[in-house]
Amino acid sequence: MPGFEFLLDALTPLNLLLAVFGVVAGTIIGALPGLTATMAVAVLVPFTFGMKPDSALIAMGAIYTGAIYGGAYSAVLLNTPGTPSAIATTFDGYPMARRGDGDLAITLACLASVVGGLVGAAFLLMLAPPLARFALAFGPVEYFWLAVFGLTLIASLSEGSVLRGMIGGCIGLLLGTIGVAEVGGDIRYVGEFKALLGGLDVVAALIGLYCVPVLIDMVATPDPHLKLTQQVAGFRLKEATRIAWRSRFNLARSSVIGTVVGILPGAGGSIASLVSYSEARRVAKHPERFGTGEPDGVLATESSNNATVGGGFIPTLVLGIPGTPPDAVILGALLVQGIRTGPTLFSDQSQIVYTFIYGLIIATVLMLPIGLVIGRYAFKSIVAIPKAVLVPSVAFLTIIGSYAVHNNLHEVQQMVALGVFGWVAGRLGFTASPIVLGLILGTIAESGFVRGYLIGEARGQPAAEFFTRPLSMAIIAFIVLSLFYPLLMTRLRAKGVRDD
Amino acid sequence: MTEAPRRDVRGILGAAVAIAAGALAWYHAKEFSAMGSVFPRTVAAAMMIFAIVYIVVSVLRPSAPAAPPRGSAWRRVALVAILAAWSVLLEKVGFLATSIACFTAILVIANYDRWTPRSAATYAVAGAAVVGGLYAIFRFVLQVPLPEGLLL
Repeated sequence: MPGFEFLLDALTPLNLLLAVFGVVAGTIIGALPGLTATMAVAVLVPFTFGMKPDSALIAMGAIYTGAIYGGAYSAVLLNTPGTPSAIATTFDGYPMARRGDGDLAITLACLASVVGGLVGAAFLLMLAPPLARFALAFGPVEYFWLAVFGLTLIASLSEGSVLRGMIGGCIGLLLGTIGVAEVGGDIRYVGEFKALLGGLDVVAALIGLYCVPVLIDMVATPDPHLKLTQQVAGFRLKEATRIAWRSRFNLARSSVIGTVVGILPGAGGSIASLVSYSEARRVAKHPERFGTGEPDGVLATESSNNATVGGGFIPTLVLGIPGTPPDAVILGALLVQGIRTGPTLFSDQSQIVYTFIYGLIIATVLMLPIGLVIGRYAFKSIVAIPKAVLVPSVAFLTIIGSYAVHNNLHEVQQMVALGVFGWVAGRLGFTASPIVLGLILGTIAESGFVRGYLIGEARGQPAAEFFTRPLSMAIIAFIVLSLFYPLLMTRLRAKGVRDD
Repeated sequence: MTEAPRRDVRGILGAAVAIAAGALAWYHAKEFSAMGSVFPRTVAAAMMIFAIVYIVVSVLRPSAPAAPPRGSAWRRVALVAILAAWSVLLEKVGFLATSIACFTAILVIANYDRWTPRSAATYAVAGAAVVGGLYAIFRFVLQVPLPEGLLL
């Protein structure tokens, strides 16, 4: 194993303490709606400036991985993704919590996060340099197709009507065009609201579209928010482990997808978890159960978003290009520490790099006991808190969380407005998930499309640019497979039944 | 005798609004450059087509989705009004004062149990802990510059 001799360096009492502190702090910050993994790392980065570089890296890695996992708590218990990476966790995590399996969902999320984190870290340890070169092969066109791949998930999030989901997705795509266009600089759909020039903030939109409708419905009836269908002692770890083992291929596939997407600069955990969810649903024996509280959905999303941590470090360390937004903050901190990232880092400063990677692995393993304890406490608290206190507390979190993203009051107002819009849309049968999906992926799709088109036009073949590159063709094949595989399987099953 | 399937009136209404929004987005896109308008126009056109198809399908093959959850309308309206006021008054009145007032107001509308001195005291302590605790974390630990208006 590369750099195995540095494992002992990672196991010093100080590094272990930093790993524990990082995971706890990251998990708590990630669980608060509005506080993203990037903010968790950014807020705690100054504390690392006085440390040795390897210890500083371990602390930042632990905070990052903890924050990505922490996002699952509010996704499962409040239907509000704590971080954008946990969007897809709401699809099945919240229905599980509604039917009384919130504790199981949290434990599954913890197990999946640990597995995903370990797979990402293993790739970082073994294959960092060749995988970093792969990231460079991704151009605007590939990003465009990747976003389209994510958008195919709309069909599966449509709860009863694909057409309603498509309309919702288009609403999200149009909302994503508000503000100054990334390419060309057009000012679009801003009107007199100059505060919209920067566009709608994704985190404020997430909080509004997911959380405010839940609050509006919570306050309307005296029914408890979540209920326990059975009194179970412990963490339901045995049950969760059994489910996870049964879904080991799903876990492995999602972790690899998360690692690969994490390697792509700018893609991040939200896309990784959406793509993994889509793939898990596509190959599932019962895809119709996804979105209704299917444990496989939680396993897929949580393993892939934590795998982006290790994946994101690959281009960060090898190329000096941050794979995900928190990596950009960590990259800045590395520069402060005097570390020059680049292809020679693994040979020139191997002690620092390998100590950090082993530290990240240790932090990920520590996430299991820490995450289980915090998760159980969070679940019991949400179930036990009277509605009269829970509703204003969550409302307070939505306000302070959406403000803290950029210290901007307009984003609080955006959050409330989008929340009311989301509730009205929900009453009309248009759920939040396709809208959010369109909002997040629209920017990437448009930017990739316009850039790819301009490059193609400069070469005299705009269409060829989109359909001839090998990586693009591979992603297009996945898109086609994702769209038509369920149809094909249904036909084959029907034929099988007829033949029988 | 089986009941005839109901039409999805809400969905049809939503689709009609989507058509209007799509038309508006298409119309305003004429102010943008060719590069800036191609994406919103494509999406607006797709949305209008999906919405028209949805209306046609809903009229020809009625199948209404499950009814949305019922509940107290005034409490819903009150919550939205408080959230709106909260987001607007933060700057003028100050974060802490607005938050205490709005937290209390939402607590009152979310409570379905009979008020007793004990429950009032418990909720007051819980509210102070939540607002004060989170305020302290954001203001002093995370160094978020929360707005201070006329009050705190």
